[in-house]
Amino acid sequence: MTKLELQEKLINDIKAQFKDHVKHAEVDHYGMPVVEIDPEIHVELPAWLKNSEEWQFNHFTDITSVDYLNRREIRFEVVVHLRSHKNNIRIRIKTPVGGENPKLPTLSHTFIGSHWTEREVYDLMGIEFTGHPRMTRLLNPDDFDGHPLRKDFPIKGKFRGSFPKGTVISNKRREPNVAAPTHPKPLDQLMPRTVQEQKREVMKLEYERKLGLVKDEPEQTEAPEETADAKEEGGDAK
Amino acid sequence: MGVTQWPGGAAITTTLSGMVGWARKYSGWPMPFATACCGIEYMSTMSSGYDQGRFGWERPSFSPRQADVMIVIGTISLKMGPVLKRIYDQMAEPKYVISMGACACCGGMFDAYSVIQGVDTLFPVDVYVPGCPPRPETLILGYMELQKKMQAQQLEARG
Repeated sequence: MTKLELQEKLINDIKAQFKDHVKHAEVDHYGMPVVEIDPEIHVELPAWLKNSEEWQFNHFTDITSVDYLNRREIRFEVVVHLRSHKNNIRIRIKTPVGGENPKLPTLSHTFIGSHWTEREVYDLMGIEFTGHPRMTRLLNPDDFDGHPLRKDFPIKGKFRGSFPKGTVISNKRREPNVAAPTHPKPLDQLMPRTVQEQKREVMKLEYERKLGLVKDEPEQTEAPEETADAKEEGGDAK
Repeated sequence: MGVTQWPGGAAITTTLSGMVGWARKYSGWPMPFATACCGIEYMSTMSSGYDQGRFGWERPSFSPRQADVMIVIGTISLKMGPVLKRIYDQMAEPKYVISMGACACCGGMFDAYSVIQGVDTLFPVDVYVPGCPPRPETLILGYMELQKKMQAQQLEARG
């Protein structure tokens, strides 16, 4: 199967799985599968791609965003890039988001690598990811006003970096504005294991058994009883 | 200042302010706050090729408490501004500031939301050393200009 056939099969699989939620899907001129989806399956589609036995998109490349001010009805677009090491193909997933305070569910429970990149998107574009464990600014100061990569952010003027004359700049250490974590468990416990991780665990266990580092469970339960008996016998003899 | 001849040698008469200024200008301990490429030029000035020790600025102090002159070298971002202000406040009086390079003087080519347009928006600056980056000779000229200022200042003006 050539690469193009594989990519077209991937597109057809996604269309079959998520029927109406997929607005548009094709392999573009540069040989990249591009999928435009509804915000409803923004988490489900990457999770399905990651956990499916056939595709295994286990490498989260990046999450970015685009501002289409005065060009489209829905202003923002969040772009996710994934990569499958098994099939050596990539995929681009586009999700339009609109409104005054654009919001999307977080991907960080599926891909831990999206933790900081989602914070960067929030900092520079102002798209909030609900359910994120620490939805704060990544690059700018916590008290920064505005989101600088938006098209309507003023290049000069109010936000020009210099402090206006007469501003009292506090030299006190600022407390970081940290939101309370929305999930009590750490991220690695929340994340489902990939197919590869499960296989790796089985292989590791077999390898350790070969070396004799891990004994089988029945042996472990029997062993302390024997020693206990031996001790009792020894104690009687003494 | 005058030299008077005595039987056992010579004596120099001067004002206390002049003497303190003379002592101060040859013992300025600089604190380099290097954030960008101008720091390389400062390293060149500091080491034996140009040897800032010739001017009595022998010891670069990396602690603000033991420094007299702060040299702001390089781009100061918006997030760094309060930190720099905090360091300036920790220096003991009398304190002087040299702003080295275009970025520290006026923001330079970084005319953006994230860069402070000149450190004089944070605290007073004594000597501006322009250039992108300035050559070591330019920084040495800045030293000498600051030495003139130290010598000329009256005692009560020094804080």
